[in-house]
Amino acid sequence: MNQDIFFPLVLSLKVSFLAVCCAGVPAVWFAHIMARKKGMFSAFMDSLCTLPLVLPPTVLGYFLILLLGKKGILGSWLNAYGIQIMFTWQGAVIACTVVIFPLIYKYSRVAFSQVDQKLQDSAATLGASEFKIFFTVSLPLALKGIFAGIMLAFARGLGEFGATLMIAGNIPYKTQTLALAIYASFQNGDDENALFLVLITSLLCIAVLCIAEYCLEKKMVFKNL
Amino acid sequence: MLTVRIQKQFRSSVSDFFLNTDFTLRKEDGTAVFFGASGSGKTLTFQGISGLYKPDRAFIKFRNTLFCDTEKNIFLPAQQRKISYVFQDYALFPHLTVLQNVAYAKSGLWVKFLSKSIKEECLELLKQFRIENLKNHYPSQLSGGQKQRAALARAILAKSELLFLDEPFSALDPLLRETMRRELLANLQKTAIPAVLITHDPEDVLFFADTLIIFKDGTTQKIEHVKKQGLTEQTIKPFLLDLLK
Repeated sequence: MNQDIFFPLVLSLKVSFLAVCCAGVPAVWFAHIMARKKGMFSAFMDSLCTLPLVLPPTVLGYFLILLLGKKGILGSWLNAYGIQIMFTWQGAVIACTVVIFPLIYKYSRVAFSQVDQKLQDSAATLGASEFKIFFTVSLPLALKGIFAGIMLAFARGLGEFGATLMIAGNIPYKTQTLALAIYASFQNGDDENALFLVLITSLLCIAVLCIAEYCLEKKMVFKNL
Repeated sequence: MLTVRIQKQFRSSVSDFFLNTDFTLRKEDGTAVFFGASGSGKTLTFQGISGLYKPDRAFIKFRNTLFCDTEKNIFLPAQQRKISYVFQDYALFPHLTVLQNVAYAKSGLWVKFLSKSIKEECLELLKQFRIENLKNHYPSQLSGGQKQRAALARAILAKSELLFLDEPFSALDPLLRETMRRELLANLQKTAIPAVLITHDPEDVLFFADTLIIFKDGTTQKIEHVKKQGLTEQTIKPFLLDLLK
C-alpha cells in the first residue's frame, strides 16, 4: 500500500486505540462514581465531563494549547524536562483522549445507573466490599453500555480532526492522521488520493460500528444480560 | 436480641414519609413477621437494620453488636452486619449461574472461578434445596420457586446470623404459595438461623408468625405469642385485613 495512505491509516488506528485506553479507565471509573450522585455539584461535574462533546474543536484545541503549549501551564513544566507534546503524535493522542472522553463517560454513566440498586445492596449484605461489588456486579452488568461507548469513541477517534490539528499540526509522516491527510490532499488538489482516503475512513468507521453492533446483538461477550 | 429504633424522613417529589419504628425482638419471640399495608415502612425498616441507608436518628443493636447509634456516631456498614437479605424479587445476579450466585459470599473477585471446597459446599446446599440439577442455569431460566430456593441457599451460605425475607411469596403463583410456605418453613427450621419475614398476606402471618410487628404509617406495634394465643384464621384475619384498609 502507498505510504501516503498506509502511514495516516496506521497512525489513526494507533492514536484512536491509545486514546480509548487513556480515556477508558478514568471515564468508566468516574461514571461509576457519578451514576448515583444527585445535586448541583454532580450536575456541574457532569457538565464539565460532557463539555468536550459540545465545545467547538477549535475552542477545545485552544484550551489544550493553553495547557500543553510551550508557555502553557503544564507544557512549560514538561518543556523544562525536555518533553515536547505540541506537534507530536503523542499530542494527537491527548487531543483525541479529551474529545472521546465524554462518549465513554456518558455511555458508562447511563449503563451504571441502569444497574439495579438491589443487586448491589444484595451483594453488600452478602459481605462483598465496595471493590468486589464494582468488579463482580456493577461492571459486568454495565459492560454492554460501556462496550458500546468504547466502540463509538474508537470510531469517533478515527475521524478526530479539529483539536488534533491545533495540537499536533498536520505534519506528513509524523502527525498526519487520516482526517488530516484528507484535508491536506483536498487542499493540494489531489482529489484521487482524498477520495481514496475518504472511502477508507468511511469503511473503517462502518466496520467498527458493525462489529460493535454484531457483538452486542449476538451477545458474544455478554451472555444472559 | 434485636433492638430497633429508627427515625428517618424520606422525601420525594410525590409525598414525604416519616419512618418511626421502635421494637425489640428476643430469642424467645421465635419467627417474627412484619405485617402492614404497602408503603407502611416494612421494607424501609429491613433496609435500615441491614445498613442500606443512614437513618436520621437510630439505635440498632443485634446481640452484642451495635449496628447503629446516631448519638455516638456509630454506623456499621451492611457488609459487617451479618444479615442476609432475601429481596422481594430475590435479586439473583443475572450474569451468574445458580452455582456462582449461591457461592457469591465465599468467592473472591473472580466469581466464575470457585475452589473445590467452596464448590462442594455449594453443591451440598443445592442438593438440600433440590436445585442441584440447575447449578449451571442462569436466573432468567428459573421459575419463581426455583429462584427463591437459590436466593435462600445463597443467603444461608453467607453464614449470617439473621435472615430477612422480604415478601418471599409475592412473586409466586398463588397455587404455588402453599407448597412454598411449607418448604420455606422446613428450610428455616433446618438452617436454625433466626428469620424475619415481611408480608401483607394474612395467610403468611398465620403460617409463620410467632411474633407479629404491625406497621401502620411508619410506626410499629408488637404482638407477641401469636401462635400460643391460639388465634385462628377466623379471629385474626378480619383484624389483619382491617389494617390493610
